[in-house]
Amino acid sequence: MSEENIEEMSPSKRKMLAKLGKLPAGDQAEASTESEMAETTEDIGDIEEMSPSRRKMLAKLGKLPSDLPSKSRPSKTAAPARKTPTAAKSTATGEVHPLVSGKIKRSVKPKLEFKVERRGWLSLAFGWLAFLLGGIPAFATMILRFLFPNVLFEPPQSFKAGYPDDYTIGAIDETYKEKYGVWIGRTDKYIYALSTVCTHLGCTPNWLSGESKFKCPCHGSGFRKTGVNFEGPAPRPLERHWIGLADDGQIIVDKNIKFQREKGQWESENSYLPWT
Amino acid sequence: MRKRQAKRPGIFQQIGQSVGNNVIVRSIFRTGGLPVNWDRRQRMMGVLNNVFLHLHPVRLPKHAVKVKYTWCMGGLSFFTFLVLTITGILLMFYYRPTAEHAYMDMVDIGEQVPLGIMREIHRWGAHLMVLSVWLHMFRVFMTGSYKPPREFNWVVGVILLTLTLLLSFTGYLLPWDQLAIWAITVGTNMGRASPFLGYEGPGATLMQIGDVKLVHPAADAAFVLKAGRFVGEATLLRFYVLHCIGLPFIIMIFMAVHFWRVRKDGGISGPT
Amino acid sequence: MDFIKDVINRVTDPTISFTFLLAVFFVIFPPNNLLLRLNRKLGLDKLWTDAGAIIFFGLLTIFMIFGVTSDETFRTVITKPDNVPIVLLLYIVPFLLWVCMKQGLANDARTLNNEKPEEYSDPDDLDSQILVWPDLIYVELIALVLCSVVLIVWGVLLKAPLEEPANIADSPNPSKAPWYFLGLQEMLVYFDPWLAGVVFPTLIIVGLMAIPYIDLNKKGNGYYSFAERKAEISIFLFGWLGLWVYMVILGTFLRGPNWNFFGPFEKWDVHKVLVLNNINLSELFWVKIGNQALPQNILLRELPGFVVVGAYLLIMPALLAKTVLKSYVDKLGLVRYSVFVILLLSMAALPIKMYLRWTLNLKYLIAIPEYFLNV
Repeated sequence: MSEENIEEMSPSKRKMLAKLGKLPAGDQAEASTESEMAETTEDIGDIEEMSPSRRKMLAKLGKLPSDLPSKSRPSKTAAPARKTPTAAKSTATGEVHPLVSGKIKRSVKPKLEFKVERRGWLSLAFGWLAFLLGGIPAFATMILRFLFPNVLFEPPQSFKAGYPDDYTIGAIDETYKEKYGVWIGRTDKYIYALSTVCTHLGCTPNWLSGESKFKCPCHGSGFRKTGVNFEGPAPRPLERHWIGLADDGQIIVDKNIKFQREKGQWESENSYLPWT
Repeated sequence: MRKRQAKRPGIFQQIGQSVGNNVIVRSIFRTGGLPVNWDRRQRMMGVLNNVFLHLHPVRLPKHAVKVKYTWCMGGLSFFTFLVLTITGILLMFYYRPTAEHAYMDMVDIGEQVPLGIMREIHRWGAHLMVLSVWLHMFRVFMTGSYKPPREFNWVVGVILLTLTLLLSFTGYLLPWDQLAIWAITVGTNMGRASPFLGYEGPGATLMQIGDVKLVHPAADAAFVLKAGRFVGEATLLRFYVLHCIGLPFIIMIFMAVHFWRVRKDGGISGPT
Repeated sequence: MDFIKDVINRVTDPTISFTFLLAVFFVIFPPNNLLLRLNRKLGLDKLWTDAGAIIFFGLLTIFMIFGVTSDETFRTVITKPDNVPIVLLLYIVPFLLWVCMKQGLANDARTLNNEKPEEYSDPDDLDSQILVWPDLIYVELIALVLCSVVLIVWGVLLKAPLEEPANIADSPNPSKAPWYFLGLQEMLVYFDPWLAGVVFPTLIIVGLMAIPYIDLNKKGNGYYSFAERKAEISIFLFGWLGLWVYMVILGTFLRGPNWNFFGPFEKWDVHKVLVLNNINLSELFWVKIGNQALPQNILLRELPGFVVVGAYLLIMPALLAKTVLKSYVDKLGLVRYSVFVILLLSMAALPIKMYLRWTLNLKYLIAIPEYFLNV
């Protein structure tokens, strides 16, 4: 977090950090006054525009002058009493609705009724259709997008792996397996960095030096020293990572870039480090 | 029973009778009286008046209470679900789903908490639930009970079976031990190979607009499960939430449908 | 003693035990009248009598006791706390199967005599019906109490296992899925993850859901029976016992380090070497038979695979419709039949692929790792 540039931070993040005391004093002061101002002015907002319930709550908390005339009450009382449907009324008084009792027959004005019903039905269908076609996909997209965060907090992907002559020809070095998930191998011509992730289902294979192969404990995939698969269910060879030399002569491995043999990438530059 | 009652009620029966007819008890259990003394009508009312019992009908055909017909497996599936809910809630008091704490909290639940067999009951109960759901399905198939009119309830049952397995699978990660992390690694990496949706699945290379890849290691089916490219702390949190809230919420909805449909489709199956 | 162990180790090897299962299964659960007659001739219906059960469970128990007392590998696997449900499965599934079949055969006999099944009670006769309170409530109470007692005793006796803290760099050997997913893990040995991990599980779920809509047989609804629904029961049991429960047991007891196969009495040796030089159909066709290099064009290279898979999924249904499953087309109609036959063929794909692996060392029928399309 501390490495991040303060300038580039979003205002809200800066404000929060200032509160936690994690910003240098100058910035902190600025940020804190900003936040204080926000608290005094913005937080309460325009009283007139507030919803009645919010105003009531604020009054309770003592943040509003209590003698302020409440707007909601008169409007509530002024509102006409809810009309009770005639049907309910008539049943309450013991009368039977004419339609039910058969005094009015349904066939009197069939055309008009049909039209009304159809319009209601159409708009209802249209509403539902709009909801189904628009609302649900939109909501699903929102949920889906929510599942993919913008920033991943994962360990650094590139590292220095000592000097090329540290490695013996024909051996697999497991020093960086634990921390970075990389094996480093050396042949008489080059040095290469192999990913420790099995191409079948992502288990970590074991290096069996006696049999000179990688063997995955999950489903028995086997890979040769070079990373090429030869037994079990693994569909393709292990991946290799970008490998190069730093200015100080050390090896750099960058896991962000990978090379796949079945795509012919093991021939490309930096998929191996020529070293004899 | 009726004969004995006619003879002369004993002292316990009298006490029971007056308890059953007490004003407060009567307000809770409307049927009144002592259940052992209930006559046929009261027994029916006792079931009808109780919100839990009225999941059942009042009367049943004879074979419905025979263990050799039902094996009790449906009921036991529900019961183990309740046990798992209760023990699960208790376990949540002591468990923090973070890479730092999860494992040690597991150790502490076993060693520091009095009567610490909650985790044991939760784990073995989960095994038992998977088993009883399977066997329930087995029984329903063997008696042909999925046939009309119960076709749809069978479908709901299959959904419940799937959800049960998913619940157990998400719970598998929470101890944060070797068993957990590797079972989940293998399981979630299968998502990587989903057709079109996983970045190593067939058709993934087609999911591309111009130069923009829609499906890549940080945006595919496996990523949704893992919340990262590897099983890590974010995965733990995601699985924890799914295990404790998400999936139980869904399974309870389907359970309600399942039970309701058992009644609506004519109660327990039987020959006609 | 060692001789017996050796024999058992050999016999349990999937190539032998699964072949045996396949050979015997459809005689024990005959899907048609021909096999039913064979079943009766061999007297296999005696399996579902009391004597059959006593003999079966006696043998099973003797085997377990023999294993636990005499072999260390077997003991460690059997007594692993997480394997308790599978040992339970070993007993409870055959037992319940026996319960089904016994009642089923009894009901079949009644149907032959034009009697109603045993479960039948007259719906109009109110006195023959039972009140939920107290009869059902008692049964439920007893079941709940028993279940609670079992859980508590189980919980007190066996600690919930907790292994080493999670370490992403070090896979334990072997790494096993949860026991109920071991069937999937076994499938993953023979199929590419997109099939074994995604398509087949989906098909299993969809296939299960489809059962009531495909099975139009109205008989056998609400009581145990066998003769009235031979084919349904046979197919279902093959999927459930042969391809799921068997795989769970195989995955638990017989898969060891590096996911190699180990007999139940074989020591788990990390360095056991099995030669598994698998080849793809394209290599088999072009290189071994055709004696030439693999064609550069992917489509041409994988042509034999496309032909085989296409034939399996398109020509096979038509062929079956004309021959073995002719009556099904008439009964089910074309749409239902198509769904049914595709589900059936995907179920059969697993044993077929297993045999191809064992006999030809075949890895993939279609192998296009460039586009992650391996079948």
